[in-house]
Amino acid sequence: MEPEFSFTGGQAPRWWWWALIVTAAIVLAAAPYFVDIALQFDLSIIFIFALLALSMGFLWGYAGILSFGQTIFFGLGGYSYAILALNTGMSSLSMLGAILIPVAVSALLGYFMIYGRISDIYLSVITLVVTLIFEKSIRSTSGPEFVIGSVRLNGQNGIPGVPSLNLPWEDGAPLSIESMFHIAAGCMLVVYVGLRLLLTMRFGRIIVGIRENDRRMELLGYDTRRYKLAAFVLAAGVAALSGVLYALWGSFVAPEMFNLNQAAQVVIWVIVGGRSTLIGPIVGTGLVQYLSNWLGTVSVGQVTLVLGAVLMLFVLVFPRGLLPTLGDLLGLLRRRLGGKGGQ
Amino acid sequence: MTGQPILATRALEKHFGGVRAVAGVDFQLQPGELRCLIGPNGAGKSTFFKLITGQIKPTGGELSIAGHDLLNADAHAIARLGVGIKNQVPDVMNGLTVRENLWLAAAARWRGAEVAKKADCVAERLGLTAILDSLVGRLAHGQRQWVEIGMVIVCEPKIVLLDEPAAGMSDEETALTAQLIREINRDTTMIIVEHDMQFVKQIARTVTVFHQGRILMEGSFECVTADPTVRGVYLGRSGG
Repeated sequence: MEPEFSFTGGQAPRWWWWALIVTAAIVLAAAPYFVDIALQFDLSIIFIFALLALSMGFLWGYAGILSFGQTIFFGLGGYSYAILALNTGMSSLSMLGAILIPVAVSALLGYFMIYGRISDIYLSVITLVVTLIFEKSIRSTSGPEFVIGSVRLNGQNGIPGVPSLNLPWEDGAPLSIESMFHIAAGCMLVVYVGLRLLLTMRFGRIIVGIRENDRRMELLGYDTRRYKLAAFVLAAGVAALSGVLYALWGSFVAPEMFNLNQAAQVVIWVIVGGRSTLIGPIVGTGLVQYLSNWLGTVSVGQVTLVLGAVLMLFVLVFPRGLLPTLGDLLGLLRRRLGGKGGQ
Repeated sequence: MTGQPILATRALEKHFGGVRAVAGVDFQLQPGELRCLIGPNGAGKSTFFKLITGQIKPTGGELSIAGHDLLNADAHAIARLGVGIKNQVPDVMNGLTVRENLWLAAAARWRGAEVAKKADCVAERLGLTAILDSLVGRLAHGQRQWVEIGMVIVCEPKIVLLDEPAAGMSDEETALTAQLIREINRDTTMIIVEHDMQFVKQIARTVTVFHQGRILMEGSFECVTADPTVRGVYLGRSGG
């Protein structure tokens, strides 16, 4: 039986991985000095979406849970931040609260789904339905009676004027584009490194084991539901952080954060990059977003149609995603050059 | 057999719709025993194993392991009490390496440096050291069976259940498996489901015959194989 995954993630990263991370950190820190402001703005949103893709890539690729509704927590994170920050004026505490609220919702939703032994496909459907319920509910809050504190929800018009994050070292001034770039890039890098290291630890290795064979892990004595719930909540936290950053980036939140288009995009980013690595979803997000932006700037007519065709072709050529396929090709090349036969 | 049994069932039942896969089994196992379960296909042996390990919930009856009432307990809770099982079809993590499979099994019981140490020790005992970094899904059937046995014994359970441990193995592997079972049995209670009567003859002390979800007979290998009823319902057909 040929296994679906060739990368377990259980091994500790090698020195060259750490060298790449340090290099990436230096490049990202220095980028505002040689990258123009428009590109910084575009890259910031790619990093924010990459966080959302990472949350799904981790959950789907490593815990084996296909949640179509990471946008539940993305949207809730954004809305929670907007409402808390506009009501309290305390941006840092609001940011923390805006992550904790979706985390609590995910714990509740995850508990009923995972402890209720709902099968994988139904879990995907339920999460998709829940995100659509959130979207419809928010869209129907346009009346003046839908107010939380002093903030009107505004239905499909969303909430504009979301307060910026006040950083102590910037003397309370709103975030500059450079600072937003640094925060988005920093969060993405820290979350990526954190998740990668988590996979080398006991918890990470256990969730990979559960992905591979839930029943065997139960028979070894692991309460797999507890680990799955923990992974679901962790991924929700990452998606919520992405939602908060999205609200900060655009100073605006809208029901589109929850919608089907957004939910499907996350799946596409992960599929394109490959779900059996953590770097895959980041690369997938970058590629798809770049392609979308580029198609928007050239006259190709139906951008969505062209993008869809490109994606279909991509999935057919790289069914496991770009990064795992390239990894396999490199491995094959290395074995050939080393004069060894295939395993 | 007068001591407190390590495993006991009383009127244990499992119905699938109108089918009584296990139909009122009274079974007792003393600490240190090595019991073989035999019987035709569909006799309820594997279902009985699944009931003992919590993989399926019984329709009725009683189940106790080491004095704990575990009738509706979850599989992980039963495993934590020291019950390990190797299922009929290799039940391993195909996408992970042999090392990772053994590590995950060891980590369920041990902590810290003990985990890798125990996993390496079992790999050496089973001759898996050379294939530690191979993906389990790419191994031969017999090797995957050994990996699964390794995953069971690395936890050092009190009771080991092996469902057809010699199935699909070569003669040499079967002999090694019999030797391994005798070694494990030195300090572990075991129940083994097996169809290969030559294999059963090598390892068994007491044999329990299942037929139509019930225990038909229990006794020594010689007694059981000489019994005309057992020969009629099982051995006559299996050629054993």
